Amino acid sequence: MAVPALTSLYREHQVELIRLAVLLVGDVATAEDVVQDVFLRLQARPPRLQDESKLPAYVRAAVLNGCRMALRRRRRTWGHTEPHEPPVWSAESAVMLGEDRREVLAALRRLPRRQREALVLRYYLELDDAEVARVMGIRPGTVRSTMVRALAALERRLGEEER
Amino acid sequence: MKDLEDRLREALRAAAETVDETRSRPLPELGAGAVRSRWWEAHRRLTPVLAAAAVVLLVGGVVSVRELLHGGGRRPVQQAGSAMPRFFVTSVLAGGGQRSRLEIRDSGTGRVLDAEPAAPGVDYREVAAAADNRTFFAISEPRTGGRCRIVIDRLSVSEAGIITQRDPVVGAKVPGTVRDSGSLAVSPNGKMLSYGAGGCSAEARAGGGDGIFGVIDTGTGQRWEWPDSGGGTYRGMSWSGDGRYLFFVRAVMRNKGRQEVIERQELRRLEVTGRVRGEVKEASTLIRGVDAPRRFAGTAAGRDGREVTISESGREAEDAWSGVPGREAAGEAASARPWAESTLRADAWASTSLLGDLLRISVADGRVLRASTQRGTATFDHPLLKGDVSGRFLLTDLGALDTAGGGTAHPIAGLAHVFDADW
Repeated sequence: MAVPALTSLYREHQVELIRLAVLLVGDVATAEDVVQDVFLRLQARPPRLQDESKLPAYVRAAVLNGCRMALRRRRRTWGHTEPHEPPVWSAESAVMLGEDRREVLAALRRLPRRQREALVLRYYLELDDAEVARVMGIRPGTVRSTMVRALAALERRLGEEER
Repeated sequence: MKDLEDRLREALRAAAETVDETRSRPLPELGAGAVRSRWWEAHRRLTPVLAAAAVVLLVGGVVSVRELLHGGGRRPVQQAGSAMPRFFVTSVLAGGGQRSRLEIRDSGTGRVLDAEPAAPGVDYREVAAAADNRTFFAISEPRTGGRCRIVIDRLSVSEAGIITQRDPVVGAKVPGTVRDSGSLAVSPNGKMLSYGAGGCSAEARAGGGDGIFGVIDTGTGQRWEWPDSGGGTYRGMSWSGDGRYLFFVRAVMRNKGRQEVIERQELRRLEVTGRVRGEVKEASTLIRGVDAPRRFAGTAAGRDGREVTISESGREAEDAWSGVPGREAAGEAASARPWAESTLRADAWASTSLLGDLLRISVADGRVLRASTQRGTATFDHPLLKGDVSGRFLLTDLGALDTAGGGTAHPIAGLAHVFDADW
């Protein structure tokens, strides 16, 4: 892949990708790091795609993987240091987002990783089952069942918080 | 649920919008080391391969140096011993227009997997198998006249049972003649070979006189021989699983009364690690002895050298006695020993051509720990008894015997008309 094509892709999708990453890792700085790492890797080792139209899905999947790695690193780091709340689901965010949104994000954060990723891809990027499946690397049937369980769990957690 | 989905959608959008879309974030570019990084990215998969190759080279180098320091001797890996050995080797004498040969056979089917012919005019005789079941040894000697010399060859066999190498063992060209069966055995690690042979004097070549009993280090070719002023001959050799003890049968002629001379066979154990010098009788420990027509067909040592399985035939003779260390030296007369009658089947003693009794003997006091009878006519001119490294499986005239599985032999094709076999 040529650098101009990559530059164009970056310009077009960087905000959307950083926002996707923010919803998964919780803070902008980490999200920007994740996306920049992805584009650095794309320059160092361009993907061999037969269909260029699949590039956005490929980059989303790479960002998703980058977020997983960032969370994994964070878990290891938090094992040795004081835990901190990333801004998106911290108490301070309620000022910016409103209390109801903060509760939803806090409940989302407590879901298992796969359920959280599926909900973000569906309800933020508005991807259909097949697209979510492609980005997450799972089958569409699994996406559907994950989604049902994720919404039920989210509802349950929100109900607990509201009580 | 619709309400929940809307709340979720709204919360996600609001959180996402905390990212300032107007902020300038130029495309990150590879730095000064980009070329190197690209090369490294392209070739980093080679790293584990190169690391593995380096380790292999290092280990190979260490092994090679060790081999050089120890005279190039091979050290087969000891077999686990939980299953029957995969192959067995047989020696076939010349005949029917064919040369003598060694055959590698499949233990399950008896099928010949590969064969190695002897040089013209030479016969392969005794064979022995190391514990790895891939290294075999064989004694060869000239068929008629010629030089009074035996040669011990080593055979290496692949995982498929194909002979990959045959070479003479360093220092294993020994003056002497093959006189008795089971006169070759190899320690489980393949490092030490024990052999028995007749001397080269006219008397010895006629079947009497001096015998030779020795051990060879297959790596260095160093040889130790124990003299025997009693004129003993040696057969039925086997090594304990730990390679410390060598069991063998020593046959000597002794006077019985004024007129009669009979053969006495002694089951003995020699601790090889100590390499006690001197006469065989002094260097080794007597475990058990029988007088003709009783005889020991062979021995199969246990793993730790505290037990040994022997095949004993000719029970109609009543003069079996148990030799206890020191007893013979004290001049005690041989006395009849009560056998474990209750454990032996009375109908098994019709002929000495039967394989006979398999007796598991305690080395410490010569007691019979377990006895079973193997019925059937020996296919060899001498009964065959070879153990594997585990001490559990025995190769006999009647086939493979799992001593832990009830003692019934599993027939193996290919044992008829061979001179010797081992696994």
